[in-house]
Amino acid sequence: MTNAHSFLSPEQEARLLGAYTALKELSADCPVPAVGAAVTMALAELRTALDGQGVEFDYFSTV
Amino acid sequence: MEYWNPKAETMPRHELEAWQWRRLQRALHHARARSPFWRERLPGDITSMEDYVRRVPLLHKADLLAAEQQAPPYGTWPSIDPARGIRHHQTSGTSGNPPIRTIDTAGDWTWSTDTFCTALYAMGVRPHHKGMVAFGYGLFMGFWGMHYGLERMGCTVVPAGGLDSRTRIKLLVDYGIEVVGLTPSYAMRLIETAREMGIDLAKEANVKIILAGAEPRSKFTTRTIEEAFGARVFNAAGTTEFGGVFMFECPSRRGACHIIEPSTIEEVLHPETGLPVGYGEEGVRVTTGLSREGMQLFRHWTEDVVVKRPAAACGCGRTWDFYDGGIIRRVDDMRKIRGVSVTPVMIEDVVRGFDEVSEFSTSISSVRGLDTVFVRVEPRHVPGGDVTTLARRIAEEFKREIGIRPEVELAPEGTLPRQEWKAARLRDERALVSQP
Repeated sequence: MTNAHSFLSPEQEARLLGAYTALKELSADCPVPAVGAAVTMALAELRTALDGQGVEFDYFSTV
Repeated sequence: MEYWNPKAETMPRHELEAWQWRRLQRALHHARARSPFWRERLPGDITSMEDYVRRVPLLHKADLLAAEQQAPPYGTWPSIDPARGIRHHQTSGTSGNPPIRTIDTAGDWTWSTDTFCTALYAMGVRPHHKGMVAFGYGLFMGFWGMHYGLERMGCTVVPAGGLDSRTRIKLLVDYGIEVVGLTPSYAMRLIETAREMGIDLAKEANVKIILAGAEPRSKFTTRTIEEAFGARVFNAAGTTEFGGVFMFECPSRRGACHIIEPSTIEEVLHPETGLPVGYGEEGVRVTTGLSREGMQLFRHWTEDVVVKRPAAACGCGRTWDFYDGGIIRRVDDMRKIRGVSVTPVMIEDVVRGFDEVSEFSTSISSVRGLDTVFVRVEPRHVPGGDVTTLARRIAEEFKREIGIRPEVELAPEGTLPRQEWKAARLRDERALVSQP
């Protein structure tokens, strides 16, 4: 079994980045503490996932 | 071959190095913008990797401690407001020094966790596995990341902090734990405890994968652990200063510890000249962190002695270079005894070669002006073993392998210390004697 070439497609990568961007916007003015905390953690997870795919975006964006 | 992150792990070298350079530029910018400590040390106009290693000074532990003392607890080092941190950790603060204290953000912890996932996945850990991390879950950063890594991968974790060795053995057996994280020293302790309990771990437990980290180890120690558990032992290492795992042993080649290069630039420098050494040559590991945002490292002189080899020398398909044998020793571990260079791992290699040895400790003293090695050995009875001649046989083997005849004495059962975390089995008492 191999996953050596199991990369994300460009479309999948774009969707992942889009999810990150949407959550980043939400985190900027989220009025609900519970949602804000979840968004913060989700952003951290998405950023790590994107980084592992070699997607270059806002490193050190202070999540 | 399967990878946690196929793209990052198999990226062509030229792409990887270009990516590292872009990441370094961002890391430098972040550090200069937010850390008073780094603003003083880092030029603002670095133009290339060559320019970076030429102009950025090496960072020593004393530099971090001095920065910490300027405004304790974290000093001028952090590149974040410490209030944004979600977790504090610190080193043990040996030799009378204060500890290195670190603070990490949620983002830093997800990255750190991911480095463990990278290592664990390579070792064969999969979501259906059950894991146990046998450490204290305290101030040491240690295996915290392994706990989170197992969780993120979908494994079931049995937290084993604050438990004694007997309880941990019982958990291992009762729950059929397949993955264990611990230090080699503590693995030896668990083996001994299991024997006392009349448990054959290889037959009664279900451990398949052992991540034995945080200490250099001898080949005999590795072999003993593998035979006793009936499991494969893998090496991995990280540091509190770095904040995550920087290398892990590959199943494709024994001892090949791949460097997680998207997260670190690793130079290997000659210990005396400070000049770069080539592939296959021993040198000191100097690390630059590319991922952690809170506590950044640029050209950190780690004191770890390593031998780097090109990725292609391992057959796994990763493009990440590797340290052959992991961390071979610490620079400050080396002792000159009667003109012979001796390290703790060399001694361990000899003493652990005897199955009758349960635990041991070593000290060096000056006896009438002559450096003398004292080895205290706690024996155990094994089939075919002969404890009455053990001291003599160890002394002879020590002389044959290392070139010095030590004084070997047997210690009563249970009298030598056992440690869960970084064991120190070599004490140099010569300096203590010579002090006024």
